[in-house]
Amino acid sequence: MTSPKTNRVSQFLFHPFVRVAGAASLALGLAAILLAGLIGAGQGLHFDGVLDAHVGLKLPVWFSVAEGLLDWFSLAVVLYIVGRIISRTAFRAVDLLGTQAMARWPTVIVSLVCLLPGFHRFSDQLLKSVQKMAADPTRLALPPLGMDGAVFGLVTLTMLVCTVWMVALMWKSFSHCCNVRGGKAVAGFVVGLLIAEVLSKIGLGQLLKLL
Amino acid sequence: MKRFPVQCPSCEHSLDVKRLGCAHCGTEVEGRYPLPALTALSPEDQAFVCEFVKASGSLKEMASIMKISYPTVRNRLDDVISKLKIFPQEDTP
Repeated sequence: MTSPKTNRVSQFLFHPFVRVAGAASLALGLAAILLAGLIGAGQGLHFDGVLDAHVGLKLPVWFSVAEGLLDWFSLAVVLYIVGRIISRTAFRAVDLLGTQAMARWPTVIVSLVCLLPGFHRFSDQLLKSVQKMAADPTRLALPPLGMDGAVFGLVTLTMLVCTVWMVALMWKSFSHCCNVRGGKAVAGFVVGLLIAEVLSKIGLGQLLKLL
Repeated sequence: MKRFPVQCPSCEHSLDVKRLGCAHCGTEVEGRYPLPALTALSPEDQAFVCEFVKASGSLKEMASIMKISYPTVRNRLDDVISKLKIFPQEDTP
């Protein structure tokens, strides 16, 4: 039997939309997207797709924030259309938009863990090693693991966990706001996620032209 | 607390009221009176419907009273509606 405190924690982590939706969730979600973009921009961290997080070139802050907004909006709009098709209830757009924005809050954790010293150092070494191996495939030249390697492993694991957690929140948001359950809802969500991923990549291409 | 029976334990059809009594003078009336549709709901759902009516049917106000989100209230209402829809139509006064 689970205690009420455990239930509250579990609800806060995996189903906060029972208590928060609408304008409040939109404000919280947009704040999280902005924060993740601000923290990520300084270290070249990009949320370059609905489910993607990659380290690359350091680009302007507005670009990092715009990436997060683009990811959120692509999925929210696609899921809104999917919801309108499969849901039998009259749901509000602001609930879906808001809770989808809030579902992206694990990206703040990803941005923060990437600040751990050693992560970027090891990423750079790993990239150089891969480039060397690409030039000469017979030469295996992985960087020594050490402390930086351990930090890299920890960050990678956290990113993975946060991505799974984010998808779980996105699903809960869709299922709760549109009041849909069952196989049809899961299929709609998966298809919506794939379409949104493609749309976000197309949007990102257009965004890059503005640089 | 005893739960108000609405379904026949034998054949699972809905029950009717056969006898009513006045607690004041003891008069008893016998007949066959169908139960109102709302009795098919659980006590929690009945309380929810009462609160909903008191809130003038405002989902926003219900969300604020119950300290839950708007979609949570609406989903609860959808559940109540679906329960009422399966209640046999001929028993609804």
